[in-house]
Amino acid sequence: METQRQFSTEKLEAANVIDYISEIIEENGVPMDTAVKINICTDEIVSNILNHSNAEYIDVKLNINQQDATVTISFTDNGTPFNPLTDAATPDITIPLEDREEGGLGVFIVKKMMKNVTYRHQDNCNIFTIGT
Amino acid sequence: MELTGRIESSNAAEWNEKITGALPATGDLILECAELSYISSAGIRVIINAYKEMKKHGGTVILKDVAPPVMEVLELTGVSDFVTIS
Repeated sequence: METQRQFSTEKLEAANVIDYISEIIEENGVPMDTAVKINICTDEIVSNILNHSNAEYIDVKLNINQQDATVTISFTDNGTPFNPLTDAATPDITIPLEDREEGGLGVFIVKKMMKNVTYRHQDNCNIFTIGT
Repeated sequence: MELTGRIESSNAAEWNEKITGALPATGDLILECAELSYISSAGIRVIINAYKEMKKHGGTVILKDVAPPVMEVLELTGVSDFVTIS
Protein backbone atom coordinates (compact mmCIF):
# COMPACT_ATOMS: atom_id res chain seq x y z
CA MET A 1 0.00 0.00 0.00
CA GLU A 2 1.07 3.55 -0.60
CA THR A 3 -0.07 6.76 1.02
CA GLN A 4 1.08 10.35 1.06
CA ARG A 5 0.46 13.45 3.15
CA GLN A 6 1.79 16.98 3.11
CA PHE A 7 2.56 18.76 6.38
CA SER A 8 2.96 22.53 6.61
CA THR A 9 6.01 23.24 8.78
CA GLU A 10 4.16 26.03 10.59
CA LYS A 11 3.70 24.87 14.20
CA LEU A 12 4.71 21.34 13.13
CA GLU A 13 6.46 19.04 15.60
CA ALA A 14 8.23 15.85 14.56
CA ALA A 15 5.80 14.02 16.89
CA ASN A 16 2.91 14.92 14.53
CA VAL A 17 4.63 13.11 11.65
CA ILE A 18 5.63 10.19 13.89
CA ASP A 19 2.01 9.75 15.01
CA TYR A 20 0.78 9.79 11.40
CA ILE A 21 3.32 7.19 10.26
CA SER A 22 3.05 4.94 13.29
CA GLU A 23 -0.72 4.67 12.99
CA ILE A 24 -0.44 3.47 9.38
CA ILE A 25 2.36 1.02 9.96
CA GLU A 26 0.58 -0.43 12.99
CA GLU A 27 -2.60 -0.95 10.94
CA ASN A 28 -0.56 -2.74 8.30
CA GLY A 29 1.09 -5.27 10.57
CA VAL A 30 4.65 -3.95 10.54
CA PRO A 31 6.60 -5.63 13.40
CA MET A 32 7.02 -3.56 16.56
CA ASP A 33 10.84 -3.47 16.45
CA THR A 34 10.73 -2.11 12.89
CA ALA A 35 8.06 0.41 13.86
CA VAL A 36 10.20 1.75 16.70
CA LYS A 37 13.19 2.21 14.39
CA ILE A 38 11.00 4.08 11.92
CA ASN A 39 9.72 6.36 14.70
CA ILE A 40 13.26 7.16 15.83
CA CYS A 41 14.46 7.84 12.27
CA THR A 42 11.39 9.97 11.52
CA ASP A 43 12.18 12.09 14.57
CA GLU A 44 15.76 12.57 13.38
CA ILE A 45 14.83 13.47 9.81
CA VAL A 46 11.84 15.72 10.52
CA SER A 47 13.53 17.58 13.39
CA ASN A 48 16.56 18.25 11.15
CA ILE A 49 14.27 19.69 8.47
CA LEU A 50 12.38 21.82 11.00
CA ASN A 51 15.53 23.10 12.71
CA HIS A 52 17.78 23.71 9.73
CA SER A 53 16.09 23.86 6.34
CA ASN A 54 13.56 26.73 6.47
CA ALA A 55 11.21 24.53 4.45
CA GLU A 56 7.55 25.51 4.12
CA TYR A 57 6.31 21.97 3.85
CA ILE A 58 7.28 18.33 4.19
CA ASP A 59 5.72 15.71 1.95
CA VAL A 60 5.72 12.24 3.49
CA LYS A 61 5.25 9.32 1.13
CA LEU A 62 4.91 5.92 2.75
CA ASN A 63 5.05 2.58 1.01
CA ILE A 64 4.51 -0.74 2.78
CA ASN A 65 5.25 -3.99 0.99
CA GLN A 66 2.63 -6.22 2.56
CA GLN A 67 4.32 -9.42 1.44
CA ASP A 68 7.47 -8.91 3.47
CA ALA A 69 6.33 -5.99 5.73
CA THR A 70 9.19 -3.77 4.57
CA VAL A 71 8.63 -0.04 4.67
CA THR A 72 9.95 2.76 2.48
CA ILE A 73 9.38 6.39 3.43
CA SER A 74 10.43 9.48 1.51
CA PHE A 75 10.55 12.92 3.08
CA THR A 76 10.46 15.76 0.56
CA ASP A 77 10.98 19.35 1.67
CA ASN A 78 11.41 22.62 -0.20
CA GLY A 79 14.09 23.98 2.13
CA THR A 80 17.77 24.75 1.79
CA PRO A 81 19.60 22.05 -0.16
CA PHE A 82 21.33 19.73 2.30
CA ASN A 83 22.62 16.23 1.71
CA PRO A 84 22.74 14.62 5.15
CA LEU A 85 24.70 11.68 3.79
CA THR A 86 27.66 13.83 2.76
CA ASP A 87 27.20 17.18 4.54
CA ALA A 88 26.55 16.00 8.12
CA ALA A 89 29.55 15.49 10.40
CA THR A 90 30.22 11.92 11.49
CA PRO A 91 30.34 11.80 15.29
CA ASP A 92 33.12 10.01 17.14
CA ILE A 93 31.16 7.79 19.52
CA THR A 94 34.29 6.74 21.40
CA ILE A 95 34.83 10.23 22.86
CA PRO A 96 33.95 10.42 26.59
CA LEU A 97 30.51 11.97 27.05
CA GLU A 98 31.87 14.94 29.02
CA ASP A 99 34.00 15.96 26.03
CA ARG A 100 31.34 15.57 23.35
CA GLU A 101 29.94 18.40 21.28
CA GLU A 102 26.29 18.40 20.27
CA GLY A 103 25.18 17.42 16.79
CA GLY A 104 25.69 14.77 14.16
CA LEU A 105 24.11 11.89 16.05
CA GLY A 106 20.74 12.01 14.28
CA VAL A 107 21.88 11.22 10.74
CA PHE A 108 24.34 8.70 12.17
CA ILE A 109 21.48 6.84 13.89
CA VAL A 110 19.39 6.83 10.70
CA LYS A 111 22.26 5.38 8.67
CA LYS A 112 22.82 2.65 11.25
CA MET A 113 19.16 1.71 11.73
CA MET A 114 17.88 1.67 8.15
CA LYS A 115 18.89 -0.79 5.44
CA ASN A 116 18.56 1.80 2.68
CA VAL A 117 19.12 5.53 2.95
CA THR A 118 19.26 7.78 -0.11
CA TYR A 119 19.24 11.49 -0.83
CA ARG A 120 18.61 13.43 -4.01
CA HIS A 121 17.89 17.05 -4.85
CA GLN A 122 15.21 17.44 -7.47
CA ASP A 123 12.88 20.28 -8.54
CA ASN A 124 14.35 22.49 -5.79
CA CYS A 125 13.48 19.93 -3.13
CA ASN A 126 15.46 17.71 -0.79
CA ILE A 127 14.25 14.12 -1.06
CA PHE A 128 15.47 11.86 1.71
CA THR A 129 14.34 8.23 1.54
CA ILE A 130 14.70 5.48 4.12
CA GLY A 131 13.91 1.80 3.80
CA THR A 132 13.75 -1.09 6.27
CA MET B 1 13.41 9.38 38.74
CA GLU B 2 11.27 7.51 36.21
CA LEU B 3 11.51 8.03 32.43
CA THR B 4 8.33 7.15 30.53
CA GLY B 5 6.97 7.08 26.99
CA ARG B 6 9.32 8.34 24.34
CA ILE B 7 12.00 11.00 24.55
CA GLU B 8 12.37 12.74 21.20
CA SER B 9 12.80 16.18 19.68
CA SER B 10 9.29 17.33 20.56
CA ASN B 11 9.64 16.77 24.32
CA ALA B 12 13.40 16.61 24.98
CA ALA B 13 13.59 20.16 26.38
CA GLU B 14 10.85 19.31 28.86
CA TRP B 15 12.67 16.13 29.96
CA ASN B 16 15.95 18.00 30.20
CA GLU B 17 14.36 20.51 32.55
CA LYS B 18 12.77 17.76 34.69
CA ILE B 19 16.00 15.80 35.01
CA THR B 20 18.17 18.86 35.61
CA GLY B 21 15.80 19.87 38.40
CA ALA B 22 16.10 16.44 39.98
CA LEU B 23 19.90 16.04 39.98
CA PRO B 24 21.12 14.83 43.38
CA ALA B 25 23.75 16.99 45.10
CA THR B 26 25.71 13.87 46.04
CA GLY B 27 25.83 10.29 44.82
CA ASP B 28 24.52 9.14 41.44
CA LEU B 29 21.49 9.95 39.34
CA ILE B 30 19.30 6.87 38.97
CA LEU B 31 16.91 6.84 36.01
CA GLU B 32 14.30 4.08 35.98
CA CYS B 33 13.67 3.20 32.30
CA ALA B 34 11.24 0.25 32.43
CA GLU B 35 8.41 2.39 30.96
CA LEU B 36 10.60 4.18 28.43
CA SER B 37 9.62 3.01 24.91
CA TYR B 38 12.44 4.60 22.93
CA ILE B 39 14.73 7.59 22.67
CA SER B 40 16.07 9.44 19.65
CA SER B 41 19.25 11.51 19.51
CA ALA B 42 17.35 14.31 21.28
CA GLY B 43 16.91 11.94 24.24
CA ILE B 44 20.55 10.94 24.05
CA ARG B 45 21.52 14.62 24.40
CA VAL B 46 19.36 14.81 27.56
CA ILE B 47 21.24 11.85 29.05
CA ILE B 48 24.62 13.28 28.04
CA ASN B 49 23.74 16.62 29.65
CA ALA B 50 22.75 14.88 32.87
CA TYR B 51 25.98 12.84 32.77
CA LYS B 52 28.09 15.97 32.33
CA GLU B 53 26.43 17.60 35.33
CA MET B 54 26.83 14.49 37.50
CA LYS B 55 30.47 14.11 36.47
CA LYS B 56 31.23 17.60 37.82
CA HIS B 57 30.37 16.33 41.31
CA GLY B 58 32.04 12.96 40.98
CA GLY B 59 28.78 11.13 40.32
CA THR B 60 27.44 9.25 37.34
CA VAL B 61 24.17 8.31 35.66
CA ILE B 62 22.66 4.88 36.29
CA LEU B 63 20.00 3.62 33.88
CA LYS B 64 17.87 0.80 35.26
CA ASP B 65 15.64 -1.72 33.44
CA VAL B 66 16.49 -0.50 29.95
CA ALA B 67 14.26 -1.92 27.18
CA PRO B 68 15.90 -3.28 23.99
CA PRO B 69 14.95 -0.34 21.70
CA VAL B 70 16.47 2.12 24.17
CA MET B 71 19.54 -0.07 24.63
CA GLU B 72 20.09 -0.18 20.88
CA VAL B 73 20.30 3.62 20.67
CA LEU B 74 22.55 3.80 23.76
CA GLU B 75 24.91 1.31 22.11
CA LEU B 76 24.82 2.89 18.64
CA THR B 77 25.80 6.25 20.07
CA GLY B 78 28.48 4.89 22.41
CA VAL B 79 26.64 6.21 25.48
CA SER B 80 26.37 2.72 26.96
CA ASP B 81 30.17 2.67 27.32
CA PHE B 82 30.10 5.55 29.80
CA VAL B 83 26.88 5.48 31.81
CA THR B 84 26.08 2.61 34.17
CA ILE B 85 23.37 0.22 33.00
CA SER B 86 21.84 -2.13 35.53
